[in-house]
Amino acid sequence: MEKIDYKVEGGKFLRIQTDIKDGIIKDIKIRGDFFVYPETAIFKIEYFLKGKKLKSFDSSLSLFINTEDIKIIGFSVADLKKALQLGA
Amino acid sequence: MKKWRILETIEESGAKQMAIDEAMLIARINNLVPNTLRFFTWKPSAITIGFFQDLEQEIDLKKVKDLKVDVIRRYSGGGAVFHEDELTYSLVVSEKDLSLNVLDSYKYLCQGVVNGLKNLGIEAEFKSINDILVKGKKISGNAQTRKEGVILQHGTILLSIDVEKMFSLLKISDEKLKGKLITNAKEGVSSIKNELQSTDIDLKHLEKVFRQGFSQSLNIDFNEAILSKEEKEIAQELYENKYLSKDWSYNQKYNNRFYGKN
Repeated sequence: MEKIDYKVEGGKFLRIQTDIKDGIIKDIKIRGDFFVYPETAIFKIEYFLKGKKLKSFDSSLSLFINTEDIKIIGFSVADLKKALQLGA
Repeated sequence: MKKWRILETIEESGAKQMAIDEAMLIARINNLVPNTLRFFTWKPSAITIGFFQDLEQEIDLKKVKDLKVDVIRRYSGGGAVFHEDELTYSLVVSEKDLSLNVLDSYKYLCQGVVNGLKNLGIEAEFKSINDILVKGKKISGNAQTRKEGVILQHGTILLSIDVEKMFSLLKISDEKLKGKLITNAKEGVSSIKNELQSTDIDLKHLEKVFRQGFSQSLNIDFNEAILSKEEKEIAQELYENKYLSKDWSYNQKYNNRFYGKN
């Protein structure tokens, strides 16, 4: 797993461990000092991302987050994508 | 004026304190207790990490052991916090009594600390997302979780801070960066003792001024109380089986039987 540390401007610090091959997210752990409500939704988000394409996961993840009524404070889907692209 | 409960201030280990906070949350969910505020202190010193943090990535576990500092994962998100010379508050309030989104509720609830500091003669301001600053320096960090219609918020009120000790406990891979972080933290953090230029701070007096602070900002009165029998039992179970367990500390795992009943 590759480690990516990313400070979100005006937000929190993302510490991601991920395995990306051929533009596909094989595995991911999103850790850091942010807030997610409910907390266990972070595991749903990680599970959702497995198998998704790095370049196009953002719109489907945003939809998933809205549908599941998950609230994230400290980073956005766009920040997550930026962080992952830095590592890729 | 609405009445909340205020609990007696206790000094305990971090695992006990976090278990009591969650027991208050569970008791409030089940309507066993009213909205509640309490203050507490830490013995021994402890580091808490946020729900989403990777323990081994954040904490120097050898150093923690050497310095006999406890490490506990909080139920709330946010960052790693070193708790030593501080007064901590926690509160539980039903979302029915406080219908604000997370960001707005941080600001609203933190006003109790801002007012308390003001009562001490220290001008402070809330800074989104979850900090309280004095002249631009952080004096209080706060974290909130919400379960089944109830908010649990806890936060630090720094009495003094040993920045070197704090950083020695945190894992920072780049030693050069560590020096810079320590300098930044020394410049970016303040405390009550520092602001009042006094080491002679009476804890009872502090409790009183912060209790007043919350009373003013929330427009409430307090009934003095102790933990209920149910809260004590729940806290004991969470202490033994959750907050002391490696499954929770390392992997955020605990099969909590207390939720999902409502």
